[in-house]
Amino acid sequence: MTVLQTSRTDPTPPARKGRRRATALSGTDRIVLLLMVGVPTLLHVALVWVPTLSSVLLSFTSWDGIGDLDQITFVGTRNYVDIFTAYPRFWPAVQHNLIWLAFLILLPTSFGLLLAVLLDRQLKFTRIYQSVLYLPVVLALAMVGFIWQLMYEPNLGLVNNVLGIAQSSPVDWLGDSDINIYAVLIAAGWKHTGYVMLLYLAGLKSFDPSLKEAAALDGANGWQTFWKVTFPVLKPINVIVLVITVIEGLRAFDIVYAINRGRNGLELVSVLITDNIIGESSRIGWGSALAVILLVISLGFIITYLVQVFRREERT
Amino acid sequence: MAEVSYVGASRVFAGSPPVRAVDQLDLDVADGEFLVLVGPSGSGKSTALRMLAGLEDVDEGTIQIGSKDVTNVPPKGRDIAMVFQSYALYPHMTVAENMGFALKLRGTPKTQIKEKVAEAAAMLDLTKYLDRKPKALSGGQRQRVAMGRAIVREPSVFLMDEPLSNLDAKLRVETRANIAALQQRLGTTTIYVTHDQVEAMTMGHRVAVLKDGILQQCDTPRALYDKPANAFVAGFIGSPAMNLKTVPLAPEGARLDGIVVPLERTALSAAQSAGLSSVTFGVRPESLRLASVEEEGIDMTVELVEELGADALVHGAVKIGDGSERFVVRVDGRTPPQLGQNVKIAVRDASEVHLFHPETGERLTD
Repeated sequence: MTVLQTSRTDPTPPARKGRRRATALSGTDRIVLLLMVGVPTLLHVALVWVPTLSSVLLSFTSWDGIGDLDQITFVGTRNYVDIFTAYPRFWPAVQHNLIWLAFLILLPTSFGLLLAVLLDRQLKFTRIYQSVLYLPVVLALAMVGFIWQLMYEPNLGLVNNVLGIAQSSPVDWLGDSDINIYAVLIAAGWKHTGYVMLLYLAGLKSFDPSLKEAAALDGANGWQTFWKVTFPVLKPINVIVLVITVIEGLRAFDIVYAINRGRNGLELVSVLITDNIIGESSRIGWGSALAVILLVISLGFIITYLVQVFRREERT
Repeated sequence: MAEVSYVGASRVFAGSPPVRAVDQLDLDVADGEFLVLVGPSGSGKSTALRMLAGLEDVDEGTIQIGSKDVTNVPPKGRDIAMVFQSYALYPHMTVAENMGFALKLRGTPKTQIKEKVAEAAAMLDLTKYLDRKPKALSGGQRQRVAMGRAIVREPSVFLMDEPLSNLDAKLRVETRANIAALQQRLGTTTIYVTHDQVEAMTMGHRVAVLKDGILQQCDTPRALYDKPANAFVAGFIGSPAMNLKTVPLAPEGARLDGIVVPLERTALSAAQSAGLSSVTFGVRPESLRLASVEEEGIDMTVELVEELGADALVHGAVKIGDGSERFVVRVDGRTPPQLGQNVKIAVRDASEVHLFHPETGERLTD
């Protein structure tokens, strides 16, 4: 009744009505909206897209970064060919990145999940445990590197002293190029575990407790409830954790740079990029090509995974 | 199929003072019975149900299913199935997987699971949806899947925790009838929790009314309506609620607005022998009528008329002592009085008046 009456007494002619509704914002609203959308877009384009696309362009050139832009010479795919065939530091770095990724997916992720499940059981002082375990996440990776350098110090460090080998036959955890990557991974994993734990904990907190009760009534024990109900329901969190882990694994840089500038067994692709672009050699084109390779690898991982997830979502 | 008994069962939540969510509950449910636990929120009805399910500890007393004491048995050992308010369907499983989950855990052969799921799905009109995930279903369909998951198990007791509260009004009435019919057909002992007294009255063979964790009365819907054990049950059961007013007692009846409403002799003598000077006087809206001008009646000013079609509810103010109290009268829908009109109301029959103790609320009439 009321609806009918208002539309009848509406003074606006029907033809204009549609147009009016489409732009039902006042002038100030539009300016505010334009600023709120425009400024971040501009910043995003200027700080993300321009450098990314410039890197892609520069990767096909040779430039020492000094002097005018007319010094840039186009070299085609030569940088890429040389990186893959004639750059001795490249393949070890890729291998280290892959080890890094595999380690982060296997250990800190599962350990973080385990901690989250334990902390979700309403233990006493759970807040304190959560804070302690999350603390490494807020530290910069460079800081983590510094802390673990002290831990791994051959004669005075905690690790060798706890093992009781500080005096007799100290292991140089960070100096030995055969084992230092694993020593650093433990430090990186220490930080990553807290991150994963927090993500899973958030997922568990939003989990409908009656699902667990239903499973218990259906006859599931704790193990079955977790693997058949809790874990599959946490799927969105699993996606986030995996994407974050891949990103962390590929962009790892500061921790090795803080320890020994990424040399002697700790080479990573990100270190090579930095060395070539801001290092002494200053080969901008070469460094950009390395950066593009890393970008493509990351995109490959993430796009494949997301496509799979969304396809599975659609099917259901 | 089995009978269920609560024997002095209590659930006490720690705190200062500790909260007795369910207090010394004694309740026997017969084999195949449909018992409804009803009460306002915080009355302990859901806690009582969860104690039976094993999801809540029993701090005092015992609970028995069949002849077995299950007080300390974990949920999976109790042979019960529960329908949750939120349905608690596993979101990553299809309808068929949801319904067959319990059987799968029990190690039932696949063909047998499929058979039983198909049978239950046919009963609930879910056959078309067996391959869908819960999120692709409507609220009513989800509710039926939750029912189906319980049925497939063939448990000895069904527990239902407000299973209709997430449905819209029309669907709720429909599903209400379906659940009652299904229970009749399966003959499984069922305990059903609701805060809605209409659901309780229409579905239950017997209804147990709880308040503050204490059982107030457990009886058939008819008996609850006709002979509420105390003023709380009288006010809780029935819609619109019974008119309950504390009024002074006169030698022949109850004094309202200058006139004396005659009461049954047994009731009156019960009140007088208890040495009371006033009583809580209860009369249902349909036990009141509009009186003609010549008759003796209680003066009432009409404040609101709710027309329901077949009949109308007249709300009005009646003077009692120094204040004024609201009364509701159910009248014929065709000739309701006007707003602001002064009318006279009278009690249809003295036997329809309920009397309660003004302090304890206990029923005085028998």
